[in-house]
Amino acid sequence: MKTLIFKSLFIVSFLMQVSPVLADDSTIAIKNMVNPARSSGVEIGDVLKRTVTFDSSISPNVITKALPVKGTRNDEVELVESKLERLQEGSKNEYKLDLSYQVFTKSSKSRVMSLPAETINISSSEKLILPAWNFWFSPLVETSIVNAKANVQPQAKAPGIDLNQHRMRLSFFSGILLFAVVGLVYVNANAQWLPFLGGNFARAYKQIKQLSKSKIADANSQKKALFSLHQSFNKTYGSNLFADDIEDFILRHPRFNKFHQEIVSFFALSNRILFSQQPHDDSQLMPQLLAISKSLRDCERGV
Amino acid sequence: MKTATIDNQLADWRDKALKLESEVKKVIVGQDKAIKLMNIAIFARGHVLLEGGVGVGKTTLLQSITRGIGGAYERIEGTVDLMPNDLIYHTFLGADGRPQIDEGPLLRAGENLSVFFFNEINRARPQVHALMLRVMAERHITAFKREYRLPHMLVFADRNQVEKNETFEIPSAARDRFMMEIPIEIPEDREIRKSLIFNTRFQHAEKLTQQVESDILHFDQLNDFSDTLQNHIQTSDVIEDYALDLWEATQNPVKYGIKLDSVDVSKLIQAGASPRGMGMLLKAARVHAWMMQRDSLYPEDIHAVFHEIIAHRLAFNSMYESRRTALARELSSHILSQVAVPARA
Repeated sequence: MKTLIFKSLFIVSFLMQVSPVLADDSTIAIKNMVNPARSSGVEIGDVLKRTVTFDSSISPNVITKALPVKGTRNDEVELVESKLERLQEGSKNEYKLDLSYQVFTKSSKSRVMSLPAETINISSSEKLILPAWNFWFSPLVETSIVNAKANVQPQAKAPGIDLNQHRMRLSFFSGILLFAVVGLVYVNANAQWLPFLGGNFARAYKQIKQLSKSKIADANSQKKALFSLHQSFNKTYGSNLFADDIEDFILRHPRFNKFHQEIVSFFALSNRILFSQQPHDDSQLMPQLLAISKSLRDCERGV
Repeated sequence: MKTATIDNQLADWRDKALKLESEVKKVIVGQDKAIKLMNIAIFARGHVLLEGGVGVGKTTLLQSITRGIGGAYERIEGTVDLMPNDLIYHTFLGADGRPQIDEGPLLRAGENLSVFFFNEINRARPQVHALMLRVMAERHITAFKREYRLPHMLVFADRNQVEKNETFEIPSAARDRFMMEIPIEIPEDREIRKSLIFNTRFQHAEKLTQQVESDILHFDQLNDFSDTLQNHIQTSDVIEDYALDLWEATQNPVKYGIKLDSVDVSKLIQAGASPRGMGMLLKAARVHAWMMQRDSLYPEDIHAVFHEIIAHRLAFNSMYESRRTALARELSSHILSQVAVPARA
């Protein structure tokens, strides 16, 4: 009897030893497995990828159907992508399986989580067993993760830029620009139709400028230029202006006082050219007349 | 060489002219402009009509100038009964009781006569004017069966514009013989007026005249020098045009846009300046240019003598004749201020 009991115990223990061996026979050997490089500091939303290389005689289509379904959530770790790739074809195909998991947990404390162990039954004779892989989850906040709804702000229009301030600046600088442009036109323009540009000396300056374009010193042009400037003086003065009247002219028109000496010099020059036989430098006359008429024109305009 | 000689001559005479002016100014105060104009007339060899009231110093002025010029000074008073022969001779009873004839003021000094002063010429009859004007023009006269030459004579005549009774207006042709009509007015400066009545040196005109240095100019050389001077001063075509425009403006002021208050300018002028008058204007202007140390004529030279030479030559229509003095001055001023140099530019 005792022998029977021992035999029975022997057979049971033998069978118990044999059953795992029988199970191991259908498990596919993993040739290579690459887990995520970082096992700590994992945060919510991080994607962890593990790659497994194995051999199988089964066709890829069959294996693909056996793969875990995308979206499968296991302990707040969700499979977001699985991708099978045949690396080598033959009697035994070599495959590479990429599995991507995304971590979704609301844990407020660091804790150990794991990529789940997977048993993929490729066929009745082959199955691929992937062990679990542990990692440390590190929450983003120390205290708690609250429902976002509690912090949702009512939808409001984004604050606009205060255009009034810019409008004022724009108006101010536009005004300055306009003033500067008008000033430049006023200083440099010759057209008599422009307001304030039809003065006596402006006319003389324009005529002298026209006459001085000729490069040959023409006595007739010089006389015309002199007469033109004299006419301007006469019109401004209200009657004929001669050298003896310059003081009175300045008294009546004090704005020309700063050109007193130039006016005296002009009359001396004019008298010398128009009335005397003294020789004079023809080449310098027109530039001189141009300069003084321009000065007087500017003075007349109040520039 | 010749140019250098002329330049020296001009400079020497200018110094003399300025000295004469300053010498006369020492004894005649408040008449600087008149003295300058008379100086110009002396070098332009023109006769002068003095216009002014009584007792303003005309005689003293003329005596002073005569002393500076040198030569003889004669004077006659214009009266209503003055006859032409009173200028030529006068009769008197001699020591022997027999009637005698002697040369009158015009002939007495002969060629040495440098200044003849006709006081109140408008009181003399037209016959006297006729003789005087002929002598002024010709500078010689025939009397006592011989010819008297008066080459250096300058006539200074005075007319009293205030009194009109027993006067004979000098006709425009006669006025034209005078180069200038110079106003001798009472000085307006209060200090000068005070000096004239309180300073005792002005009480004795003869003593005053003696203070003027004599023979500064040498009257017998003035004619020659005047010719030299006139030939020396040049005129440009511009100034010639200007002078012609001025002349035309005296004849037709409306053309030059001249307007006078309360006067119809188109009816104002009966006759403008004469060719002789314009000639005298340029002659006097040249003297002014020389005195300003220039050898060319400027408009300012013409202006300096324009009124005194032109105003008394203008013949106005009778309706304006009574206002002649004021209108003539106003018109000449307007001509100078309106006629441009040159008007046709």
